[in-house]
Amino acid sequence: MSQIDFESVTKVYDGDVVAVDDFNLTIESGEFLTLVGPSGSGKSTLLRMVAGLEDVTEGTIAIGGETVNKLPPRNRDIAMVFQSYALYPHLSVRENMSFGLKRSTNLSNDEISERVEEAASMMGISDLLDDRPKQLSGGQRQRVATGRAIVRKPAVFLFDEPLSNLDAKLRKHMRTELKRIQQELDTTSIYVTHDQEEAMTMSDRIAILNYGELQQVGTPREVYDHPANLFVAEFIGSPSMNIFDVRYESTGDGTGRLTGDIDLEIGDRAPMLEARETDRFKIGIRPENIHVTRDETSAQGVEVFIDLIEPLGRDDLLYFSLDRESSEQIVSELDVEEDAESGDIELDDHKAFIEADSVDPTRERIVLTINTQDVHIFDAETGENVMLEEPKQEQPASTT
Amino acid sequence: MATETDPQHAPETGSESESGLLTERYVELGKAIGFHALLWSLVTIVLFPVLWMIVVSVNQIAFDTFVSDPAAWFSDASMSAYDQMVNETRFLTWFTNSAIVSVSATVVSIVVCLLGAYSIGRLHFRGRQTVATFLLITQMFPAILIAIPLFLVFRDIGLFNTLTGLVIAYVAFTLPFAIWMLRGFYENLPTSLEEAAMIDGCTRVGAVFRVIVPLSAPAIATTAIFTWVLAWNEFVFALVLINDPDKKTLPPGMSEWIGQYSLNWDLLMAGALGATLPMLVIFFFLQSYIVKGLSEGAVK
Amino acid sequence: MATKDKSDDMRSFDLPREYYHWFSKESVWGWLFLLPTLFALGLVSVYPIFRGIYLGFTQYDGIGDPQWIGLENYARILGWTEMWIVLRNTLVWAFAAVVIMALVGLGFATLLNRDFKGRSVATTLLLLPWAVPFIAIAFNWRLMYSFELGPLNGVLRMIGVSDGVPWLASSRYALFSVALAWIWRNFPFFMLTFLAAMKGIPNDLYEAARVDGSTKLDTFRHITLPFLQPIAIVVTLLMSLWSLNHFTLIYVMTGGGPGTSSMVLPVYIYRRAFHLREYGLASAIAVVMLTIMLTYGLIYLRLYREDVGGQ
Repeated sequence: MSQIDFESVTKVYDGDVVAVDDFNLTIESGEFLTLVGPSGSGKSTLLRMVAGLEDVTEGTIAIGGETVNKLPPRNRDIAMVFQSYALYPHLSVRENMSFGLKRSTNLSNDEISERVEEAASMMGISDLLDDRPKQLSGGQRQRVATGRAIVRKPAVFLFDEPLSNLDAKLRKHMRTELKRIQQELDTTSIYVTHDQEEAMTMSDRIAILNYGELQQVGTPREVYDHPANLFVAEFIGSPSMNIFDVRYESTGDGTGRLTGDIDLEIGDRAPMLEARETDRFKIGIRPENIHVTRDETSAQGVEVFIDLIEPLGRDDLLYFSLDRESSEQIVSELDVEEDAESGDIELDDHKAFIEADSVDPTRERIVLTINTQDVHIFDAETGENVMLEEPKQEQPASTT
Repeated sequence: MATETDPQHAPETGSESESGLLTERYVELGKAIGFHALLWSLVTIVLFPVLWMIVVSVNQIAFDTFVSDPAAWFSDASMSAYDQMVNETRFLTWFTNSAIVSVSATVVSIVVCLLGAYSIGRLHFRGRQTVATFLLITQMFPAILIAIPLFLVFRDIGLFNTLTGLVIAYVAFTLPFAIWMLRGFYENLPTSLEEAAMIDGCTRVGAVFRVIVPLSAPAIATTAIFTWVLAWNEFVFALVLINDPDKKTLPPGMSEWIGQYSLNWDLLMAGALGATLPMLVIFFFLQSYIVKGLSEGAVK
Repeated sequence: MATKDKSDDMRSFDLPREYYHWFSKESVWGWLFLLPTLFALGLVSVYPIFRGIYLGFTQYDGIGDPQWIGLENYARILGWTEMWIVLRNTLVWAFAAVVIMALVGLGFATLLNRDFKGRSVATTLLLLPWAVPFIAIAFNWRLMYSFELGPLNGVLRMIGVSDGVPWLASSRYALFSVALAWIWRNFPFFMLTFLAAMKGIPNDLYEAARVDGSTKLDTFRHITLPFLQPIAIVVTLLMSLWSLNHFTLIYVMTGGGPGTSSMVLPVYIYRRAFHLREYGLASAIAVVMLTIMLTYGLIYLRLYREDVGGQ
């Protein structure tokens, strides 16, 4: 119906700035795909190329099997929700919503107003139809912008960070609502965001981009549990994955151990490390996979320094360091941060979820255990996840 | 602060004694009176030339005579100068010519400038900065340097002594200014607006005329006023490109009265007021646009 | 549309990547939309300028063909004392007058920059000079300066200072008198600009200064003026450019006289060209004027970009 195909899509600005590099992907009809990545990763450029707002430098984009490279936006049967909403300030909500229908369809005025009413009730903005955008709150404007897109019943929805101008609570609410509407209408959707949480909660599949290159595509579960490389591993998940530098020491009999920031027996996973040219790796462990040891003499235990314990309600979040100096440095930085009253504490620190009130915060040190099965191992040079069975040929794993 | 009511001041003086408070109030009142006296006498001085123009236009009178005996001015007041202006001079012809030329030039200039300002203000392409700078540089061309060759060219191709020729000159003369003014407004509109319109089924041109133009109506009005004022005031081109007395516009036409009617001050003032009238009307009706344009045009 | 399709074809075969941008959609539309503007300006601004520059190297009385005489016109101009008087007058007119204008505007802006009843009425009334056309201002101020009827001489006689001064007819006062009319018409522009800029000064600064014990004069000197300085420089330069180009007031009020005592460049060039039919010589003087204005304009552009952050 309206599958979207990207074939070797490349975008070059001003002759030398490569914004998107050889992008290949097929989005199934009715699928909700999120493009996620840091700013400058090319995700918005991709979306705008689908919309026809940017030229495609090389490669082809096809919607429903038809190549659209040279079609102007109006002929692509798409609707887009902008970050700034882009509501026409001189038109009422009703006129904003019917604007596209009047231009792109031959519907009679009655049919148009019927469609507008329908979309408005779906978005819960029926009472606002005669207001001007200026009179609306941020959340209401967002609803109108979405309403303006769905009223067209297009083949494809394009969302360009549509929720980033809303406050946290409203954003969470609109997330579910957008997802509900998309499922109801069963329309192919591309959703651009830099917020990995948004990507995780809304998408059928997530495509992670960095520096114009596709890093990985997969369901939220896949990219979370099996990140293709270090970049994806660190980008997806909040708080992000803990990364440690290690070296592989082969014991000669086909197995070995990791030593470095932390030491780890790796048992049956050794063959994959043996096969690598390098002996330098990075291991990643998600905060929920690190546990406080009851038996402090356990061999797999790692003794760490406690920086801070942040109560989150159900759990506590433990900030820890591997040695005393960095611990002291981090604690002093934490003080500064708190003085500045900046809400989020985002430090180059390791984190672990621990059971609420399970650790006395005045303690200096603690022993943590890590289950080898929960450890992701990445090639320190290429960043590739060495634990993934199938070699990834189409995905360049380098994050540089 | 010399305001009549200063709410912030009350709490500060609250702790002081009753008499201190009173003195304070008198000082405040005195300051306010002083301020208003100063301001309004300055306003009167600034407006005085215009007031005097009106006085003399109905009765040619010396200032000292007027001050010593205003009644004399009043009893001899008449509209004869206006009558003479309408019936014995070409004032109405020139006025009409001025109106035709300035309005046509404004309309054409605005249409051309809409596209130009949109291009420079909103489209991103290599060369736009150069064009923008070029527009500014044309503003630094002395009008008289352009007028000489333009006169020679117009003489050769038959546009000399025609209002059409003058309109063409005025369009080019007002265009850079108009584009520069409108461009500032366009730059501040979010680009997603016409992108949304293009996705909603408009062509690029459609998006400009259905979304950008209606949105910028106030800015276009401001630009149009300024363009019109430039054209209404223009002297050099009008002087050089028109020779036929029946095709002259107001400024060069009236400038000949200086020699011709140098002692008919009432007629001169009547003419001056006649030329001022359209600008005054526009000024009072569209004042907010003008204030905005004047103060923002330069700052942006 | 034909242009676009063609460009698409061209890019797949002929063009190296670095030339793509000339054929991007925005580029094609951009130049298309600029076409009428560039056409109009090319015809009525750029072409005449070049023709004018060419004329500056010729002798031409408007009949027949211009005769190339090289730099002779320029050599003649620079040798004239008259020319230097005109240049000096022009500088007085375009700089001294403008600085006074800016000061008057600043004064009024300071007066108006507070809350009081009648503020907007006062502002509107003070803008009125701007709504009087140049030709009317010229007539109006001729009347103001008139020996018999003029209020200025009227006041002088009433207070017994003198029998009256021939303002416009004396070589001593003529330029100053016309400049006063020019100041009268243009100070509102400075007033409005400064008022707008003053509104942009954060109120905390004044409050902080008040807490620190500054007097009003201190805050004016150390907060208001530094804040206004960049925009003041830019607006002053802009007004100077406009003043350099201004013609009407001087032409109608004094015609540059008596003698050349109030003569400025545009009027002088006009007389040379259209009264004496020395089109070549007049063009050469106009080229000198162009050089002055361009130099000036480039300084303006530079400051505008640096201080106001405009583009």
